[in-house]
Amino acid sequence: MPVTPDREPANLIAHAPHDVGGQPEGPVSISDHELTPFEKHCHALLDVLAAHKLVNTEEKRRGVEDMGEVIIGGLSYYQRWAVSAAKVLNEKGLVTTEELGRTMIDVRGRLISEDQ
Amino acid sequence: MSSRYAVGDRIRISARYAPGHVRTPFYARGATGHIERVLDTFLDPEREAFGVNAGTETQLYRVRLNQSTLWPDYSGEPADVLELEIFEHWLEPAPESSEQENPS
Repeated sequence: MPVTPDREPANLIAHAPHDVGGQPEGPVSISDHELTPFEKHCHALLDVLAAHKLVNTEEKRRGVEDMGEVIIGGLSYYQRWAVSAAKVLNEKGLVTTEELGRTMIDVRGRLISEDQ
Repeated sequence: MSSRYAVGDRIRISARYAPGHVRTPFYARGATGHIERVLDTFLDPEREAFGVNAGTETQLYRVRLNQSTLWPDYSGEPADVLELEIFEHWLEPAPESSEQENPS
């Protein structure tokens, strides 16, 4: 029996935000687009993490689902993957938030210097 | 690993709502139908999602449900069915009183 999730605490837990089957929704966009370099890198990175048994598909999806409705709705498909991978690697003690934060600054710095 | 259910068995999908990584659609929980086929066994994604990657083999089934029992305002053909792949720990024998689904 379909139930539209409401904001009751019990329903927020019972009906996860990614589980949208059967809910009213507008038309689905089926237009294709060329993958951006970020999307290709992100896909490749997650494939490597899976091949090395560091982050599997189930862990990656669970990481996305745990973000909640607002973040899931606000990020693109591959942005969700990237954030999920960071969370799962952190949970497993394979990266720290400090390492990741510093690396993000380094990478941002490289991109800015490449642009100039 | 022997399967608990056989083709044709009438089943109900459990109406459980615990937090976790769940592959059973929300809208199908509590629905009754029957086993359309017995599939292979797989690691339980509910455990894999939390890093448990060994020793959780569980039986998967293809389950057939009537569309008209899933959606109160369903306007398609009465014989329309939906087939879902559901793990054994989400299935229970259908209550005796539950509505019979369309024959396969």
